[in-house]
Amino acid sequence: MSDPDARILGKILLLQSTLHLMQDNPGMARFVCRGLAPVPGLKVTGIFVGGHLYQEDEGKWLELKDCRRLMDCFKEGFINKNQRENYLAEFSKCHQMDCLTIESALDLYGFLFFQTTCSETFNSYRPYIENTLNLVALIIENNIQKALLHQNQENLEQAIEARSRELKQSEERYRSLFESLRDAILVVDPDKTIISCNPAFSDLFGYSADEIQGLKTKVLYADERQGAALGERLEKETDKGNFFHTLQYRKKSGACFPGETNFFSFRDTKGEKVGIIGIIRDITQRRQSEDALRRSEQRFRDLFNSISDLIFTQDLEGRLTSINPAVKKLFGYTEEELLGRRVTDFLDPQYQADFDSEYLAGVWQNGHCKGVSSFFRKDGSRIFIEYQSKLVTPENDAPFISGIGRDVTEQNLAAKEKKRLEAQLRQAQKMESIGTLTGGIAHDFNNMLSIILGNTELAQEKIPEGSPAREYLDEVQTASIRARDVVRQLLAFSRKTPEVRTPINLVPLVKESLKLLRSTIAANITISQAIDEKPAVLEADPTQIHQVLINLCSNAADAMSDNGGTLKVSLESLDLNKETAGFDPDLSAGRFIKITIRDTGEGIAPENLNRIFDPYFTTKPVDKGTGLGLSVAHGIVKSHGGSLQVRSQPGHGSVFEIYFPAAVQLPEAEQSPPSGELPRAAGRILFIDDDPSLAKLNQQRLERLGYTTSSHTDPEKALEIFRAAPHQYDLVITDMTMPHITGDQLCREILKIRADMAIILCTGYNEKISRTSASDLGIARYMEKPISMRELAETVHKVLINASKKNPLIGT
Amino acid sequence: MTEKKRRISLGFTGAMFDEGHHIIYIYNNDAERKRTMAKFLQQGFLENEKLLYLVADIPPAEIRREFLKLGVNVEERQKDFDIAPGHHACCPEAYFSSDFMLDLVGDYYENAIKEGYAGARGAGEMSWALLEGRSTVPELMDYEARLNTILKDHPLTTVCQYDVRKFDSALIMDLLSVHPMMIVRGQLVRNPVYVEPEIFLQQNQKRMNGPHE
Repeated sequence: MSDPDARILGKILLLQSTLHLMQDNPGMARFVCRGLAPVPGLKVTGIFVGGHLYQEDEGKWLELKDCRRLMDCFKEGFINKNQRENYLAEFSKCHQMDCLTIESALDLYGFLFFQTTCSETFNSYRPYIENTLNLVALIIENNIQKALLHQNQENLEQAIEARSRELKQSEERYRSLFESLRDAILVVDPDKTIISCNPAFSDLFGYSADEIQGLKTKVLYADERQGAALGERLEKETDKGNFFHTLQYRKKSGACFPGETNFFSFRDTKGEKVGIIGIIRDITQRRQSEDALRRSEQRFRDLFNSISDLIFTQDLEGRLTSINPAVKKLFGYTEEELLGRRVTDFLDPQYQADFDSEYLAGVWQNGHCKGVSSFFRKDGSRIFIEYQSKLVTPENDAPFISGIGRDVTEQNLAAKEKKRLEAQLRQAQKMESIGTLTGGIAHDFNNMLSIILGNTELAQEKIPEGSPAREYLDEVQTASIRARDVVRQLLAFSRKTPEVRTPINLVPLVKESLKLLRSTIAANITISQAIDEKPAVLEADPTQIHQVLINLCSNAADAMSDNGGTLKVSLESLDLNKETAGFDPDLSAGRFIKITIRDTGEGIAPENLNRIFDPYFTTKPVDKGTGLGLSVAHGIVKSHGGSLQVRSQPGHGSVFEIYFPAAVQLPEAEQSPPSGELPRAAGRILFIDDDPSLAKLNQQRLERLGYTTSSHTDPEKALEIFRAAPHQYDLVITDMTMPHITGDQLCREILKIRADMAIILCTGYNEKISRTSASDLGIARYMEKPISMRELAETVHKVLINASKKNPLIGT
Repeated sequence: MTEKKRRISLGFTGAMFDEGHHIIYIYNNDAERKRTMAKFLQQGFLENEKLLYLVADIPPAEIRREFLKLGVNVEERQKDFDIAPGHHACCPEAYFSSDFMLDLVGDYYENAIKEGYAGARGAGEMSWALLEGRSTVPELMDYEARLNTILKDHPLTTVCQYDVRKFDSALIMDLLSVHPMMIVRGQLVRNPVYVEPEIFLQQNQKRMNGPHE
């Protein structure tokens, strides 16, 4: 193989040196072809590179498609080197030219087509030619890389440009925001030197942007110490994040204001802190509004706390969520004990069943509910509350119940007391009516009894003793007397008479009280009595004693109302010495009447025994008792000098023992038992009674007694007769209740005519007259019908005796 | 006509060369080209040479700015250099004349010597010659080849600048063959493809007689 010519090699080297200037493939292709042209033994026909075919000669050696096909085959790859060489040999044979590849380690870029005129010479230059072609491949690759880089660079530049535009727009937006924000914004560097501010800052502080730039932040603080303290904290706090702080600022004018500031640090792209931004808001107005609101809230809170009525809120389950002090005070619980609890925890059990169905349902469905319910305080006492509740549905919160309430316990008790008093009044009115009725009946009844008794007595005189008829008449007399006593009892019980203590026998009073009680207590309660028949006399007002018995027996009956039982009343007289009277320090030794009232009821709890006589103390429901019955009974007993004791055990009933001091004097009605002949005397009697039977009867009886009697049924006529001859009579006996002129009026007229006239006034029942008022009238005697023969005889006899002492002519 | 050639520096390379070389500078990077030419011309100031720059791609003002960047007091040295558009200098009656151009080169050198300069150097941007239709390839090739002869007696060191982006690569190869020296990657190298003017002119004559490429 011949040595290559240095000049040719030099040309090849120069070609290689300048190849890098040929950046476009066609130019490079031509440059290579021209550059390799002087290589001996080599006739370059063309070059295919970058998809372009350049053929040196005018002659058409190759088709472009041939080149592309060749390129495709090489791109697909060969199994091995032999296959590749075989293919090239085939190509050469076909196209009568050789080719060398233009390829690098990365890719194949083209082919150099040539004819070898002298293979030996060609082969000496072949390495240099191949090297040149490799260089072409490198340059092409480099160009591709550059193009890609350029493309990427173009893309990158476009992206950067776009991003820069975005950044600029963003910056403009933020700048616009910065400039337009109403809050003052300040930017300071880490040394607390002010870098910039927005127009709002200038407006607020009065510094222009140029003035403030470069100043230290301390010029803005009203209090230097406060500012210094802030400065120390800012670094640490802004490292954590946003830091809010309120402090006093100073404007350029010197005016100060409170500023709420949001501090935060800003950093560069490397994350290094480059400064702090402060957004300052003048909160002077807000402070003023807050103060005003606070004062307003305080006023409302004071009002809320001072209101004596109850104010509360509940959730929809009825749990208390807020209360005012009045609630705590009334219930006696602390706030912690009340809040969160359902109202039913304090509610009277009788209302609990309706709480959900009526109260809560009512509030929810109707929007409100009101009423009165009873509750229990912490100390167990009952209270009544009148409430009004309303459903509140705030816009942005859960609905709740709001309510107000008022303690109406006193009013409730007063209402019940009123009811009770009204019932008592009605009862009293009823009794008064009964009294009136009784009074009306008694008058007629007494008159009739007088007739019966009077005629029976007259008949007894006619019929000897031992006669059967006499026996019958005796029975009639006894019955009449009993009937008379019954009427008197009825009048006594129904009469509204002031307290008048007189000796009374408790035996009949107790019996009669029990008779009256029987009709007022439950049938399942048995009444038994153990009454000593010996007179049990005491100085007392029978009405009050009756009250005591009724109260104690009613109380005993109430204790047995559920299950029934036995009420036993006993009466006895006994002596108490100093020792045995010691159970009551107010008692002295002496003779006492003891009334025992025993029941088989539920008994009294030990802790209540000491309180049962206290006024208003009761264990009964409000509408069942006022707690006054035992207190009144106790008071009456004490006022009579007695003692009221109680023994009781729960489940074993109770025993009440009344001790009354016994009276010495016997009751007037039983002072002297009747005996002996009837007293008789002479005298002239004028008898007036509108009842003809009574007038006739008494005339007969008086005449039987020896008196000269003139009886009249017309009081006016009788008065005329008297007026005509007033000294003709020694005694006038008149009835009270008469038509045209009543007995008392007749008496006045008679006494006007003759002042010393002895008059006896008789009455069946008349509330206008009494023993006292009759005496005041000047009447000698007052007698209640029916009057027995003996009573009539003795009374007439006494009156005439007294009258004759004043006027000796009487009876002559 | 000088008999002994001075050894000069070209500015962009540290080596010393005889004056009067005909150098082709093929470039595709304007910045590099400007730097290289600025150093070439600055060295001329230092060598006490008068400078001729025929521009086509770079405005004259830019050449002056380049001088300033290099620390040349353009105002003071204004008489030491001439900058003109190439087509003005080389195209009488608006068309390139090889004879005119060659006379210009010879006269410029002679005048420089008379003016007291040690020598002269020149640079030309040649893109105007073909791109504006002022010349043909053969005519240009004729000039380049004959310049070699002129420069033997009038050693004005000349750099012909050709933008490879604007000239056909095949033409570049032909241009290479008529320039004895070449700037390659900032170095001056002998052009191995150089063809002696007499031989090249013969070959070129045929082309000049043929149709324009």
